[in-house]
Amino acid sequence: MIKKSLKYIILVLLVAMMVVVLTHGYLNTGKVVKVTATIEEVTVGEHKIPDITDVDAGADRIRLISYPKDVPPNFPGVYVHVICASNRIEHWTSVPYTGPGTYNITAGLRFIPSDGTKVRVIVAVTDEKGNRIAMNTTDTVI
Amino acid sequence: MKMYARFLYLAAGMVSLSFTFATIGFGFGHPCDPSNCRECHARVYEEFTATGAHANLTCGNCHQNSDLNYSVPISFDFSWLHAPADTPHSAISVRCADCHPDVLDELQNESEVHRRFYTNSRELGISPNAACIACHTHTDVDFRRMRRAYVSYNVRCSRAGYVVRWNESDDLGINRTGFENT
Repeated sequence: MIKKSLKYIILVLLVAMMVVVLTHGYLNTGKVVKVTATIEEVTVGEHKIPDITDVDAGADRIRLISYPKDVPPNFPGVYVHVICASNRIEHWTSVPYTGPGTYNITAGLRFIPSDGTKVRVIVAVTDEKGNRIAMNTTDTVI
Repeated sequence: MKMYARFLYLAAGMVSLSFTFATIGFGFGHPCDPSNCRECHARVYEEFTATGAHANLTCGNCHQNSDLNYSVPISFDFSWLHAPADTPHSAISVRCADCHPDVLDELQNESEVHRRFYTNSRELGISPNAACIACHTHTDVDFRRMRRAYVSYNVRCSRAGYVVRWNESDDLGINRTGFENT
């Protein structure tokens, strides 16, 4: 009888733990940096290379359950770096580069700076070998 | 019935645990184990962990590993070596100037002492990071000294003496060494 009750208790505890964690993830939010980058292509010689003409970045909050963390690299890709006090504070964030257009990228942060901190947001396009072929930056307060 | 109940308990427990651990992470990260990098880059590892302003950083702070599936010291899985030749290995790196943009600002100054070295390095196709690391390291780096294949000069001779000027563009056949006697 005790053994059976123990099984029930363990099961209930596990389910309760799952509910608590899921609820925590749904109800609480974390700070992210949302970046909108406009990329055009310019012709240099016989080649077309991307040109990041505009970068707009700002802070937002996102549910912890879907908080973005490191994503595998993309080749070619559009990468976002968030620099605070000479340190890269974002999780590795990138999306595949598919040509000119507007890219909306959300970068999760490894370290959350205090509110009102000025950070440098770098948007870079890398080629299929990982070489940086375009870059633009902006400063924002998060 | 008893077997069925056990299976149900087990399944419910496993599902709960899986959900819990997966959710606690709130999305999986890809931690980079520096000891893996050390296998091939021992001197860089030793320098970074022992000295300098970057001692508190790990490899993954600046380099994103493009092949996260191998673990050299633990599994001795060298399957990544058979990856296609065009598969980049830790190809994604931040640039030194990303975190130190003030240095780039300084290099805009004509009188900045490192400007010539940096700009010439860039003209020779050396990556920005390699240009910085050429001096800012104690370990060997892959910094190849390069020279132009052909060098040509224009030499002008006058009563004042010889004036020798180096042709900036020295492609063979376009700018050959010339001599002018005035």
